[in-house]
Amino acid sequence: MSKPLEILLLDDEVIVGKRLKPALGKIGCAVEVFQDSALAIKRMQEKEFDIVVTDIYMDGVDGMQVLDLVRKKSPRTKIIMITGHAMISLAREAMEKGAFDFIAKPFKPDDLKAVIARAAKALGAPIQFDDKKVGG
Amino acid sequence: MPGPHPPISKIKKDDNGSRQAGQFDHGSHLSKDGKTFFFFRHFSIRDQIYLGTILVFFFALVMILILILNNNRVQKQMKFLGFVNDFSLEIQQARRYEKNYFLYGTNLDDALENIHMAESIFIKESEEFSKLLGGKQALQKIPDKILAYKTLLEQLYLLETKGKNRLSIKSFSKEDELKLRGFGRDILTSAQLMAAFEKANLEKTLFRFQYIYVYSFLILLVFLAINSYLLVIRLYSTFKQITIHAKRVSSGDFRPIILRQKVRDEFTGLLTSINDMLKKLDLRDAVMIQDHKIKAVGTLTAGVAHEINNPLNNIMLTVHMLLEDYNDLSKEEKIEMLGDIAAETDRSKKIIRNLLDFARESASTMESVDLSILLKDTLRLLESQIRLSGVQVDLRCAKKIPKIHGDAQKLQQVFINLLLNAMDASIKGDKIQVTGSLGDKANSVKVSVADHGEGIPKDLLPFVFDPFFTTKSKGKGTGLGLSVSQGIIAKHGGNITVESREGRGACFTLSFPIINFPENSIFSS
Amino acid sequence: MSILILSSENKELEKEIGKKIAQKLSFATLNEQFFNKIAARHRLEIKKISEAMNITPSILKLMPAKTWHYYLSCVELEVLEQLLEDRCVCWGLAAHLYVMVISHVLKVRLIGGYGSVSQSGQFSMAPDKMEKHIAQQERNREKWSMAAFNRKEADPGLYDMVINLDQIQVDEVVDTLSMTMGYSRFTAMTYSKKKMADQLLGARVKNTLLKSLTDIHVHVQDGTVVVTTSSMKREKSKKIETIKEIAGRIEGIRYLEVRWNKDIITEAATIFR
Ligand SMILES: Nc1ncnc2c1ncn2[C@@H]1O[C@H](COP(=O)(O)OP(=O)(O)OP(=O)(O)O)[C@@H](O)[C@H]1O
Ligand SMILES: [Mg+2]
Repeated sequence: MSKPLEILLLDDEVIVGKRLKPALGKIGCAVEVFQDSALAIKRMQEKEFDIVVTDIYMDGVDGMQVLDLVRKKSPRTKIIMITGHAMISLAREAMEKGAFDFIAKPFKPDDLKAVIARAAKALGAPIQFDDKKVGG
Repeated sequence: MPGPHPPISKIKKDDNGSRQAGQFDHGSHLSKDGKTFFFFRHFSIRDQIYLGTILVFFFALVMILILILNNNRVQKQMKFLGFVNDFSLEIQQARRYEKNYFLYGTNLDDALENIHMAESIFIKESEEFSKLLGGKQALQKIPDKILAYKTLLEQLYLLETKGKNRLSIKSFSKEDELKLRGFGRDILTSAQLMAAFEKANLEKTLFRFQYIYVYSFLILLVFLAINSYLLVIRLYSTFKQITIHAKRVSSGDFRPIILRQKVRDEFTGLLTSINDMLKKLDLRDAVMIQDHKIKAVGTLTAGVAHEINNPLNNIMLTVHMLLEDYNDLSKEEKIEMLGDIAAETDRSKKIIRNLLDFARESASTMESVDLSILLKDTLRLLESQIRLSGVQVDLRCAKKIPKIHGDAQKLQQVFINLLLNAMDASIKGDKIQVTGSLGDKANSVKVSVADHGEGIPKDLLPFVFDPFFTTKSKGKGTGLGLSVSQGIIAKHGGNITVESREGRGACFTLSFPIINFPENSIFSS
Repeated sequence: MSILILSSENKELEKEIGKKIAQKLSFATLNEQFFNKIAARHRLEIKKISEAMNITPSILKLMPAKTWHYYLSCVELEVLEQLLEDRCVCWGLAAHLYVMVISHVLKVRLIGGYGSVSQSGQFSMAPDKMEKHIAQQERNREKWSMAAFNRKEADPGLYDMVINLDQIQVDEVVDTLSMTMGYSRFTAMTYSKKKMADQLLGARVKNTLLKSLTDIHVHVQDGTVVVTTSSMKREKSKKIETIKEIAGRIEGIRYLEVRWNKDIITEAATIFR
């Protein structure tokens, strides 16, 4: 394991960041947590992340716009959408715009970990994650 | 139309004293009104017309009677005048013969005959004469004089037939002759006096005729005028009241019509049928409100089902992290996480309770409603829709808006309609301004929902409150929202207006009267 | 990473297109031939399976409603199990009616195209007779799909795409659909895979319950199973207990709830009070 996976987590729900940061930290990810999409975008201008995890419906810039921005700026970054308002049309739109995955809330930390593991593999920097528990 | 609240006074009569019998209570006051009508005296318009006609008829009858009587009197007086005339003619004749006798010694028997005739006329009409001459005493004078005159003539006649010559007549003294002539003159003057008197009488009677004609005509006119005035007033005031009510009904307020009637008449029947109709309309309206509410609940439920995912996700993440790291976590961290779970559970409960409060089937309760709280609750209920549509809703309420009297659930339905409409018209990033403030008119509260969306074209503006008017696609809009809202607002005695410019947005303004009764005294007002 | 489901009254063209696309994308196929496997696994008669897929039970028909529902549920279960695998073209199984909510399934309705088939003598009827025949067939299918899934099979709202075969050539359809399948829009993701897993679990629960019970509706979300049923009031608690017992043995259920459906008339009567 050379360099930790850089992850930006954006969700206006405080608890999501509070819980996922340590959870993802355990599987070797460096997580930066944001509640405000404007601040997150600013940070993304400064730094290229390996993975961006974002909520969709937020005040101001929403997740779909974040997705567009990231796709334009750094095509190699994998974007994972998480939303409480999952709908078939929204999911298809996100995938069409190039999201790596789309997860409906509520989800378990392991669900996200599994997706991140897949993303890491796709990035060519696999991480250690025991996938067995997922789907149980 | 804030005015008096007729139904409330009716409810007062309701013995079970149910407080909920507000304006949304269908039917129960109708039957009560039906009953109260029977306490009134029955006096229909037809009765009034009949009564007027009968009165006019009687009046005319009385007039005719009076005229007939008067006429009779004139006839009698004319006849009597004739008698008086005859009488005085006979006397005159008698005197003329008597004079002839003294001059030429002839015609004495003729004079006698004439005086007999005069006497018989007098006796025949003695009663009338006595009336004219005033009392028995006066009556006695003329016959006395006639008698004296007759006696003197008879004496003369006797002398002449005895003496058979003119000389013996000489014994009839000059004195007697003078006396005879005096009597004759007296009688004649009396008769002429009587005639003059009677003529004056007749004239008076004829004059009275004129009076009676003029006055009775005038009285008849006045009577007819009063009668039609009363009739018109009665019809006009009732029609006016009905018109006011009809206007109220057309704006969606289906409370039964209660006229300030003192008596039962044709309008009572009309009113009962109109109220029956209103009852049916009200029921239909209630069904429509309910239908629309079910649709709104559906929309909101879909939103809430999504909205609840956020707290659920928080709980799920926290619980799983707690399970995973239980042994590595400090006590403080564990407590913090459990606290988060408790808080998020509470949040979920609130989201659901808000929806359930709105969806709950409840008898409509009129209570005192704080609009600023209700608006805040409504926005929370619509949180998911607001989030999805990407609009910003800004709520600004004046510091202290007085409470109004209303049905919180129904009012919330109105706000939801207006907000959903505004969101439908807006695009992402638009702002919707919700304002609660004191109304322009005294004693009223105003709530407005203004958006900056597509607006309503001028030619469509008059139709937006019509039922089933919609510009939205089939599955999306039923076109009942505004029509139902208008009905609900009307039932609160308020009104709803819209201003819009195409492309600039629309602003819907509701205004409610503040009905400020202290608790429990609602029915004594 | 996705699935294509075709639906059409024109069985010949449907089959031809399905096969061509599967070949082009090197996808698996799933169609009536699959009945063999279903029959074997559930010990059913193949003939009866295809009968159940085509007729609607009525008093006159031989198959009782209970059996019919059970057969359909077996098909649904097995098909969903296959669809879990992705990369598949599926036709002739009415599968689109139970994968409505899954975003990585492209649902396509093919209409018309009767005139263009010349190789088989099956359609050599007079045009007006033919039209009547098709209309009748569509009515039958509507009845069937309403009875089975409470949806109209021909309702265009159920599909992502409706293609008129009178206007577009078979090869063009194959090209178009192959290309469309390539859109990332239709790739599978955690969300849609979970939905598929839920759907499968639901089918399994339903299939198990229908072995002994009737009138069962199952809804699954995230492993939470809600069974809705109705029956005579006095059997209510017994039936609920049975459902809980049977379903409790099925693997993968995170939480089970049995709901009682009020009968519709009382519900309607109370709703406007
Ligand atoms: N804020 C608004 N901006 C622009 N147009 C509006 C607005 N509110 C209402 N309208 C117009 O008025 C019509 C009637 O509104 P209404 O709420 O009665 O029905 P609806 O919204 O179409 O259907 P429903 O409320 O049953 O979903 C709408 O279709 C729309 O054209
Ligand atoms: Mg509306």
